[in-house]
Amino acid sequence: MPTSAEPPRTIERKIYLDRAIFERELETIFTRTWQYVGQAAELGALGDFLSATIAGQPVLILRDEQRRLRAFFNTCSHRGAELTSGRCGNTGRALRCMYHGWTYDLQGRLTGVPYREAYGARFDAQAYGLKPIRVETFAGMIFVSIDPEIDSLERYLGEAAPYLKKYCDNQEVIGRIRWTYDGNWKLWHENFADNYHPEFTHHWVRDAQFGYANEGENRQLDPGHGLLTWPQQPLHLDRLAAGLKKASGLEVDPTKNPEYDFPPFAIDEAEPDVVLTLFPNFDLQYFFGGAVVILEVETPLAADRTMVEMLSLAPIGEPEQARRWRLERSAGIQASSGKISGDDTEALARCQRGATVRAVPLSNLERGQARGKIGQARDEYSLRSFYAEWNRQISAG
Amino acid sequence: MDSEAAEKRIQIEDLLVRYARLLDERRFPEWIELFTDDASYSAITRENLQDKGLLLFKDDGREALKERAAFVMGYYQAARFRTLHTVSNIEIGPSSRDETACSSYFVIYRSPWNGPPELHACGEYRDRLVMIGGGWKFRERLVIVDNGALPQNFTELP
Repeated sequence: MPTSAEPPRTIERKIYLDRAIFERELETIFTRTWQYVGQAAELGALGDFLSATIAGQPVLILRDEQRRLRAFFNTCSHRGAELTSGRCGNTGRALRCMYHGWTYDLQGRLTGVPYREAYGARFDAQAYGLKPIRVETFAGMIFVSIDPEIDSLERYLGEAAPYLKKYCDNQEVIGRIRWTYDGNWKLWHENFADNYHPEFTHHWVRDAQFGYANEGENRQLDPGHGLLTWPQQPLHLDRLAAGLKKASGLEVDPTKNPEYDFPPFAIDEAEPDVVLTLFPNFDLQYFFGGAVVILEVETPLAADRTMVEMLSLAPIGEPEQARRWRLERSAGIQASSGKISGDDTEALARCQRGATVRAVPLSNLERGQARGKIGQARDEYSLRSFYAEWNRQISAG
Repeated sequence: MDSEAAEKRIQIEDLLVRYARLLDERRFPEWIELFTDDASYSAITRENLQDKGLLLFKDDGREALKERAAFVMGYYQAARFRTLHTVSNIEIGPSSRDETACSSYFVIYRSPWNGPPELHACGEYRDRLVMIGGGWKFRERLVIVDNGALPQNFTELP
């Protein structure tokens, strides 16, 4: 089990801006980590595929004839065209490049080259198969890595593995929402690893979840992961009404808003609410005893531009009423449209702009002074865990 | 088209245009009055509409609409910006005298204080309208957002 370097207590703000550091992140961190791409349940049939972009490079994951998952760089060996279009689909029993018709089987072997005789007798089709990348699944989740030497997924998940299995096992995707923001990818991931901000950034948390994070824990999970847990909060709709009125002048009665009705299935209120952050760019939210399970992955587009994709998950084969509730309600606080997340992108955009100030080069990461890996809910062991691993990976050869 | 149908079409177009203006002028209490007491206002991306139906949000009833208005009237800390909603391609669907389906296209621009207008979203409104007290109101409005990716601040009402 790799041990993290001493967790840093400051962040140099230039890491949100500097293009050389951004390029280095693609070469090191995004190349040498496991990257979540989707749920195994999305690839049910022969030839089903998902595409993704890892370290700026297109990849393809598919289900072959033996029901195995295969993953490749999504580039034709001939002239480089991507073999598929769109986020997902079905390619049948072969991948055929739309450009010159070169064809590959689902194991990536080159099986068809139109007018092959022009290449002469020495043309070696075996050398022109698709370049495979590593693919593994854990708890029904598909991860890939473009580093052929990377450790197994389970070893990489480290101390986070049991939590991922507990909170996310065997779910299917019920919907996806994407948004972009003008900020560095690390800012969004940090936002998850941070339980200090919600009651200040989000008036809805301050009011409807009064007492948020007064109890709970903040944990470093090796290597580079984090776990935030806090007790489920009963909703304080009276405080919400007062807050809405103070901000807007409107008299609102949230008790008459079906958004705040209980879901049509039992919730174990003793279960804590959970955020699990995996290094480098994966974030899981598990709320109301699993009534809401949300995954987010940050894709770096540029040092100051990021795409976030949010997936809402649900148990495979759940009853129709429960499914309908999740489809209607699970994303209401999420995404750049959400009652909570709508404020997060504001905070991050401001941090990105403020980071340009050369005279103030450092950010503070000191919450939680006790040694060790576990602190109180609003501490920053989870953030320091991330940056210890970030430092280690970015300086590796 | 007979004169009753023409009159109905004009009234419905006026409703759709008024919806846009009230939002752009931030006249939220009047905007709420465009909906019936039991109305449903929800939004979805085109991708999710064609997949399993995951909504961006769902507001059922007057109190839910008031809460959403309160968010954009100061409860959010996310920045406010000027919007411009245009509506076009209006099609009145199968209808009775007092109820009708309606669909239209929308394009929303946002105008930051320090730059030219930007495309915010485009898509389709799918409505069920009812005639109440001499005027048409929304009983249901589904906002279908074509965006494959939302902008960083999608808190203004679509």
